[in-house]
Amino acid sequence: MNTHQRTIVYSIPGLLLVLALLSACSPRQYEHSLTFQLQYNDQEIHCDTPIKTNSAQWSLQRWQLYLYGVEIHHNQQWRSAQLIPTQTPQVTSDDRIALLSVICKQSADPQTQTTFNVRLLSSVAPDAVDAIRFTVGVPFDRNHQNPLTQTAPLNRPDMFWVWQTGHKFLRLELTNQSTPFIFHLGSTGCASASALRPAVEKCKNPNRIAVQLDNIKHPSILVFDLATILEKLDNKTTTRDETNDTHNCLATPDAPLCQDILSTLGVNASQTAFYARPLTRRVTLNQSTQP
Amino acid sequence: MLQKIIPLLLLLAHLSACHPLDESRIPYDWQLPDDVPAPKTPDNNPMTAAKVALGRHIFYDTNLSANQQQACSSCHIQANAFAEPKTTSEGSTGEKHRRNASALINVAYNQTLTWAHDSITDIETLILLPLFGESPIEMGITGNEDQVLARFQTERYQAQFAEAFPGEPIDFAAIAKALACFVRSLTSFDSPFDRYVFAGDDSALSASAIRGMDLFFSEKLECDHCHGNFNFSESSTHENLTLNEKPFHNIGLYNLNNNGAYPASDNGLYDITLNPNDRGRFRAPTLRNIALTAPYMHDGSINTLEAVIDLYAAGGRTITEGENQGDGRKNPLKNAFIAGFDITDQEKQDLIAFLNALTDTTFITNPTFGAPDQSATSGQ
Repeated sequence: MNTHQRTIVYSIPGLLLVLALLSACSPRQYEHSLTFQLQYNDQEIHCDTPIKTNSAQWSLQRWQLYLYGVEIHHNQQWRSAQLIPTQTPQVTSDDRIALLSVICKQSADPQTQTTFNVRLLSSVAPDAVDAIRFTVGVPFDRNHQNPLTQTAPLNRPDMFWVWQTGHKFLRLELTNQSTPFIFHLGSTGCASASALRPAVEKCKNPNRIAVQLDNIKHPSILVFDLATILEKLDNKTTTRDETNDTHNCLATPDAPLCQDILSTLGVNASQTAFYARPLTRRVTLNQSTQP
Repeated sequence: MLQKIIPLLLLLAHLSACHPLDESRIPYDWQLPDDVPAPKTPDNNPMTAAKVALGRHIFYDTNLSANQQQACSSCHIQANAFAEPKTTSEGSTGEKHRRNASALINVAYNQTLTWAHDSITDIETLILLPLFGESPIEMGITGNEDQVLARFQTERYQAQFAEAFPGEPIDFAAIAKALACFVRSLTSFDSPFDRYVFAGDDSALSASAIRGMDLFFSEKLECDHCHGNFNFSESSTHENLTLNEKPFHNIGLYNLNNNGAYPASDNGLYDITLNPNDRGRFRAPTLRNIALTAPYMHDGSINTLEAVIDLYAAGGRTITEGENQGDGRKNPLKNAFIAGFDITDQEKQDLIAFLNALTDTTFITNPTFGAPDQSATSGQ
């Protein structure tokens, strides 16, 4: 063994010691799986599930939403969590944004997935989580870009309006035998030279929904419950002529029904400027095991 | 060192001499704007310049029809963005087709083909319909296969086939592949709209066209829900998109007997699936070059863009007399987005100004898409 070789051999324990010290400085990362599920009155909803309310029987056509900014609360502190790339649900390549997407085909395929496991890394152990928060939507810096050059799932045309207003954050579409319900949520009041030019400043109505779920008991399932939305539809009095009667709410704050639903979802439509509020009432937590 | 390099260079030169440039393997240059992704192409028929060139010659050659009266270009006319101005088409024997000839614009991006078929997803398969279909007869090849194929045994065609499909016979599989490659090559991204969006040229659109564009993409009119994305058709996809939607819509064009029916001659997707909910459902075509492709709808039953806008503003078409009378607005199978809207005369003019701005004059004058000198393949 020459001098050079001896130097290398003697250096290895030192390097290992440094690595061990560095490792000790990095907090341990735990893998979580947040389970999101679409429900109506405690019943899991599939494409072929009849959704019966007091005045109608609905069936699901679409339930799609983007979410980002997941944070986990423990010991009186919020800590950012990092999404882990998966194909279902799709996560952007920078691990920032996930898309939950249910699209029911004409045949109402009962196999269509309506439960999603969003995987993420956190410095908090899963059984030590006492609250979770995230935002439904797409962050402004990613919301107004050319969808052709964005990576999946932000390149989906079905979840994009135009450069000016950006992506649909939430798309809920139901149908019944007489009248469909279409609800699209995204930013509105976005100023730019035209629909095909991006907003350069924050939109008047960002319409992102801040969701905070307290009192988490591990393990939990995060439920998006259609009950209150459908209750609003039951109470709806039609304002359109009977020929083209629809329950469309496309982020337009004018119609009373839309105001109610926006408010229900956490966007206060009665304000001139929209603001987000917790969605705790709509996204409820049940104690159950992860599938 | 030099002693080692020289033999290496000699070896490389020898290998190169043994493998002359293989025309059949030269990838096709799509010549797309920077931001526009390429279309998906089938693994069993990659695009090559040689196949596109051969397909172009066949596309314009009346020898492909049994009676030598029609070429593909007879119903797909470049000046009309590869549509035709007839209400519905006629085959080579004069037999009437039930549908208006689809424009061949960016077909490479279509998830499904024809006006209403959820299973035909590649052009190679689609092409077999006009070639061999018997109801109606279009090119009329069925029963005349040998006679038609013999016309492609000219010296020039043999050379072109050999270049495009080396070692393969001249048969209908090769013809369909070549035609598919040429049809895929018919891309259109040089309209004033494209210059505004992809080149960032603010002066490419008039003020009226910009107002119309804002209306088009507004939730008030909802046009972009079915005619959205880069190709103005929600059934378009591209190489970077994994979405696999095959949407078809009933727009309230008819409502016979108020039960949602369309004329028996054409019930759209229902004719394929036999699912009653599919009655009157058709694929939303691209709106690129729409000013050039009148008449409109699957049956060519609307002559002008103004009348099309009127239909959507009313939330469907009302026919008050004749065998097709009915209130399309009340069609129970109508798509939820066809809810009607109020529109002023000025807004309608603006919307039409925008639709006119989707016209790509380069596309309809591009000589590489036009008729070739057929003597180049006639062998004469």
